[in-house]
Amino acid sequence: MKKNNIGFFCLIFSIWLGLQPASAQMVFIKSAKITFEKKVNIKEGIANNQWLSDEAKEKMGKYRTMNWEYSFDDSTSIYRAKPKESLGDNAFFFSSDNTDELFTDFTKSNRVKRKNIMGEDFILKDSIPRLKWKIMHDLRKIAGYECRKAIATINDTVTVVAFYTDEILLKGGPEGFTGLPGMILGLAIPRYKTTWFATKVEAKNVPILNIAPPAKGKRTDTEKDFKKLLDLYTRYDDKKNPRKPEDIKKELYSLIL
Amino acid sequence: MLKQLFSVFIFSIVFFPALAQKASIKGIVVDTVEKTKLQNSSILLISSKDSVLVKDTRAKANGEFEFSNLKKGTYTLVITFPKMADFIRDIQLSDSSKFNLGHIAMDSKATLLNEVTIKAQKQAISMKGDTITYQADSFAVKPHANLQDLLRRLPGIEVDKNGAIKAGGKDVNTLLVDGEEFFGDDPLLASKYLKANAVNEVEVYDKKSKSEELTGIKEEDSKEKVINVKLKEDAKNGYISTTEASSDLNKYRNVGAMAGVYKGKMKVAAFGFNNNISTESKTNNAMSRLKGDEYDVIEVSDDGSVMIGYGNNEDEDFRSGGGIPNITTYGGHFSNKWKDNKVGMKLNFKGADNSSFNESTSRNESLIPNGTTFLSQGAGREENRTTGQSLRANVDLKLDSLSNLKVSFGGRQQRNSANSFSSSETKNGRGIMVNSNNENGDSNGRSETFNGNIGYVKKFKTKGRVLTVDLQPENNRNNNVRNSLNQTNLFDSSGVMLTPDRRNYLNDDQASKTSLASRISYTEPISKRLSLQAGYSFKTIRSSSQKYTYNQDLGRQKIDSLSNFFKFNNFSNVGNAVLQYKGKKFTLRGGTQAIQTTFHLDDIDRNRQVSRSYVNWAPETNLSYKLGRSGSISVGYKGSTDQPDIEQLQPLRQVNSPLYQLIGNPNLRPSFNNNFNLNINTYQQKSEIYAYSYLGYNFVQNAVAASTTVDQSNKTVTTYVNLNGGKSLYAGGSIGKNFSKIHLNTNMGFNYNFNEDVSILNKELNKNSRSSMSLRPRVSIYHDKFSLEYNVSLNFSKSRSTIGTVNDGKNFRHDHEISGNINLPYHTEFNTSMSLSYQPANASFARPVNITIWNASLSKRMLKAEEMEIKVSISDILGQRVGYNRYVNGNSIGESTYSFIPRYVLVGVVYNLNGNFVKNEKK
Repeated sequence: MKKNNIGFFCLIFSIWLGLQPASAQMVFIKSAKITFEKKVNIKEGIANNQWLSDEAKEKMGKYRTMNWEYSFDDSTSIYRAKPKESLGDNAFFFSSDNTDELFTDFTKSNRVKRKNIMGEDFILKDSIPRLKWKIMHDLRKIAGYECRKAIATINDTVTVVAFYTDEILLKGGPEGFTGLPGMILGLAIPRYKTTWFATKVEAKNVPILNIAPPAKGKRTDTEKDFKKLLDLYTRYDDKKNPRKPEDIKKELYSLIL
Repeated sequence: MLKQLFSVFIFSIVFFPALAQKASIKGIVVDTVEKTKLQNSSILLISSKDSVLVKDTRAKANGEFEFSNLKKGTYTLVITFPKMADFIRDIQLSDSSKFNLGHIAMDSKATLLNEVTIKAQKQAISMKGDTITYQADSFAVKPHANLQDLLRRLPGIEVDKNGAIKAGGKDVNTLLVDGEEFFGDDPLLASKYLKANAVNEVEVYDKKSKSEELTGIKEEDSKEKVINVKLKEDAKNGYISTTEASSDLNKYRNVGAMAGVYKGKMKVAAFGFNNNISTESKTNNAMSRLKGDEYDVIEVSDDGSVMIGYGNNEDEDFRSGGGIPNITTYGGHFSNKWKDNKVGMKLNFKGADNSSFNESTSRNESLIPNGTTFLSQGAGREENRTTGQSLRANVDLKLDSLSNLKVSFGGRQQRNSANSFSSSETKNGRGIMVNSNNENGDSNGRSETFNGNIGYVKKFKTKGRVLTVDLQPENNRNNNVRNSLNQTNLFDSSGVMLTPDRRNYLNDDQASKTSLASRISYTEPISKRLSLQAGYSFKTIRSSSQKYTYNQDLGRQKIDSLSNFFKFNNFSNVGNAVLQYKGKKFTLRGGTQAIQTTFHLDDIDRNRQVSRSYVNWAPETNLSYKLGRSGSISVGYKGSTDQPDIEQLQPLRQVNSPLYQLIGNPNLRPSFNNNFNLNINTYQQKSEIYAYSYLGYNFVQNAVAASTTVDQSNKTVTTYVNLNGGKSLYAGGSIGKNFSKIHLNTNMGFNYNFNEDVSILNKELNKNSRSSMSLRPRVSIYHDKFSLEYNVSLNFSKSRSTIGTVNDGKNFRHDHEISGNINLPYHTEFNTSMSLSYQPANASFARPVNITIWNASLSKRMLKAEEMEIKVSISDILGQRVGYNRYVNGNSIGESTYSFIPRYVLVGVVYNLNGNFVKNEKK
């Protein structure tokens, strides 16, 4: 008898829940997997290239496209390249899979980057850089979410345009850009002729397991190891006019993978 | 209980002095309607000075948020929640301000900071009812393109090389700008002078009668479409002017000028042209079609059949015959609206002086029942001149918001003169001459017409209830005097000439007509979807026609047998009722018209009277259904009674040639025509496919057909009888696909016509059937720098006759049109067009006639806004133009030639000055 009552009550309760207005049902996303499409406009860049024939330039097309995956939960995120499913036309001209990764821990405010330099994977650690974002009025829909525009400047002169949505709670985004009141789903850096736009958001609020810092790769925690990296990085530099270490460090730790 | 305690706790913290040195903001975010707490709403604190995000947070489960340790300054607080309007508030903080905003109510609307930049892609093409709307900006055209170029890009609209427009397969003879005529409603004027970038939208809809516009009830399936061009706000005031002059430095020339100003509702224009080439400047024709506003003309033809026509569609051109032309036209236009659009006036004046000259030849082969074949050939020369002026005016008064009075009137006068010479001879199948004839004539005439309409329309408060009353007086007078000398020789069976027949006549025709017509119609909405329209009209006509023939050889003696003097009185009553049901996706209408006519003919000379009285019926029904978002299908039936012509009952025409004779049949019965039709059209936006198709079937009961007797000398006597058996089938359509990305447009059109008519030839039933089919594929590529178009038209026709067919009755021809233009550097443009027509040899014509007409022109635009253009053009570079036509028609075939203008080179200058009076407005 009691069971029936409880059952009946549950039924009524769930119906009542179902009848609640939409606003109370607004579900904010705490974890998901976002696919970003990175597009680089190579046309202008290769136009001046003497070594490529016109035909080759034609075949290379206007854009070089790559897909990246961004998986996150309420405090950590990992950003890595998505393995190519099929060989596009560009495949012949552009090399094999990218193993770069970026892991961010928002509670500890630090991040771990795996970067490939001269054929070797290196693990670099640093803290999450703070960016000054300007909030704009424009809105744009990306992957079905209403996103607001914001602008920031990196390296003193490079403008970055981002579109973020407040429906996703984590203050993250692709390529290590963070700090907006929501998730960045659209990113454009005109100077580098590159854009990143989310194409789909999957596995919403479903627990994601493989968010962990990259492990495989040469460590650079100690002074000695870091020096080895620097040497490799500047191998082809003009020895007579070496670059300042701060500048090299800036480049290594730069936001773009 | 717990909640209240919690809020008290929060409040007390606020007043805690420890935080006195730093500013803070806090609040509780709730939903206005539901009063629920909006957890996770995003709260942003933005520096007002540079829009930089200073702090951000999310509202907790109880909707609360707080910013503390804030520096002094001016900030903007923005609170957002998905699907809710942003909350924005400017806040000035001092070192110790503590802002408690309390409950912040969020509304669910899509309001945003300042300007909205949500892109709403208006559908490039949409369909509502029978109106198709195109968003002009969705279709790419060159920067200085005019409206004609834009229309070419719109799927479903075809513009041929002469500028004639077709939409959905139907002719477009009316082009309005913002709902009004643009210096007259001829499409050519507006399409040539309006710039494409001034256009906001283009609407295409069925041409409706005035009453249909008011009541929404269709009276008849329209045969034409109307294009309405809606201009962008800043393009509604401007001026247009053109001056052009071109010549071949020898005989041919084309000069003209046109200027107009349009400002708000006022339009003023004047123009004048002269040319002796005729086809080159189409704007002549455009300006010369200026007319006053139309009204539905209540027409009753001589035999009494009544039609309610769609306004003055009759060509008002003072056009004379074909051949080599020499045309001068001039005129002016004024229109304006005053008193808040309550009073409107339109004035149109036009004059012309046109002449033409034509030399022609013809050859014909016909078969008659007893197996005899006749071969005739002839030649002729004709000169014509027409001059005249016309003035049309109308005044439109909005008496109040629901009623309108419109007074239109006009007058025109015209004089023509012509002279002609022709000769012909006919031989029979054995080569023996059977007759020969030559005729010389000249004529002079003049006509005057005055007509008008007073129309009153009252709409009632109930939507759909409308009353219209029209009163139409008309008066016209026509005089013509003709001298003709006709000599006919008949030959006997061995080719020996019999007595020649010479007729030297003077024909003096005088006619006058006065009529008064009136119409009253009332529409009542029976329910939201059902409405009924009922109307009554009457027309009374009094006319007199005096045609006297005098014999010049006998001292101008009147020939009674060829003269007559008639007076007609005609009174018709017409009643009609139409019921229309408008569903969500379909419209059904049905109704009928009943026409009762009493007609009295008085033959003054012979003292004979003829009276007739009859009732005609015209039932109609139609169902149209909407297919998806932009498509429709309609099916309908229309029946109508046709009374025989007065000419068929009692011929009034006198006959100057002994080779043709007409005998009336007073016992003719009226015929009844049945027509079934089906129409489909659709536009698929995503795949850019546009298609329309129509199918119709017609059959006539008791058709009035000719019964002809041809004797050994090819002398023809014709009378009329009722016959059953006439029918026709017509079908056609076109399907086109546009590939915007590669700027390619493809289209395939097809037509099929089958016609069977019955007549009697030498007492034998002659069933003449003709079928023809044409296929018209078309491909066009359009680009900034060049465009290319290739049009093919393949025509197959076959005709047979039960009496016998000359050869196999088949004819095939194919025509190809290639045209292209390339933009060259220095603002030069090269234009070329090639028309290839092939009429291959077949059973009837041993000689193929293949003609390639190649025209090219090079033009250079000069001055800053490309106002001036210098152009050199060559017409018929290969010198192949011949004025030639051939036809195959069952038991007869023939070919003819006519005068044409041979190859020439024209050098010309065109200076266009168009612009807008743009006001600089700050947005």
